[in-house]
Amino acid sequence: MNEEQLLSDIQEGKSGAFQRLVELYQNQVINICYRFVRDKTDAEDLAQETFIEVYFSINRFRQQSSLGTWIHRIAVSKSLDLLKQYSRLKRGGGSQGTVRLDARAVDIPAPSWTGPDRILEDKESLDILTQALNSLPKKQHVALILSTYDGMTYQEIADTLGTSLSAVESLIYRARENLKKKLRTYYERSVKKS
Amino acid sequence: MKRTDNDLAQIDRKIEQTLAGLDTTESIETGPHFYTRLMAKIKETESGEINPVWLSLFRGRLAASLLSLVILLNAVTTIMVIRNVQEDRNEYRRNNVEAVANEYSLPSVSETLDLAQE
Repeated sequence: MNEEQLLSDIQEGKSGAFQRLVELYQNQVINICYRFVRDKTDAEDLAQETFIEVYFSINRFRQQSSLGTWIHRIAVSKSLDLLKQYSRLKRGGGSQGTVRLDARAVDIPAPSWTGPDRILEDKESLDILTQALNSLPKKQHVALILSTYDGMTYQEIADTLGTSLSAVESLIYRARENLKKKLRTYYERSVKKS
Repeated sequence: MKRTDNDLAQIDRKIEQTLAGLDTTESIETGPHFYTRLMAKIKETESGEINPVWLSLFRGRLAASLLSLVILLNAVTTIMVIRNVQEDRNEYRRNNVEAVANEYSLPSVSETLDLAQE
């Protein structure tokens, strides 16, 4: 069944049509959300919120983009909203345990250099990465995160961001470069401290 | 403190490791009964959003008519209250004057009015 038919079935309220849509997109949606929030429970909650919004807004969907792109946009927007909430909570909750990657970040515990094989299972590295990602400009952040999901092509990322394919490539390149800079600043400071 | 080549190598390695984490994020799947739970949440949201019929009275032209009616009723009530207060006040004064007239054996107000008419 094509997307147009599915959409028209849902808008006409045909039984089972919405379930088909959820089954079609649920894994894409949860994986997009997971790449932003890096927590399975949060990702599942976000996926549910995404489909709730889809359910209540689908009659207003004007097909200016594909159904998939529209759903991806909702998932991205919900994920960014949650990240914003978390960053507000962190700011409100004092500096304990926070990892800041701006120029004045001094409250980060120095990383331990023992056990060089520990990679991202290490919570500290994950925190650093998450924080660095969140400090990127929004479009770079979204483009980079979506590019790490195999289930999405660059064209789909471009559609989700409402930009061109070449702009997406440039955004991803700049995002990686910025990320490297931020991580270098952090690790250099950590080496100085130790 | 000057960084050694070893420090720089460690930094580069750590950066690569951290970035590698970005590209190796595992794929996950929705939990069982995802759709059932989703529909339960949707129903919950829907029931929270349903507006009682009486709320529709406060929309559109009907709302304007109801508002006009309320304003009119308030105006009428206010006028009636003002009139009653004035009548009460007049009667109170009249009674006082009558009482004084009786006290000093003077013609009452009504009698004075009768005399004036004659």
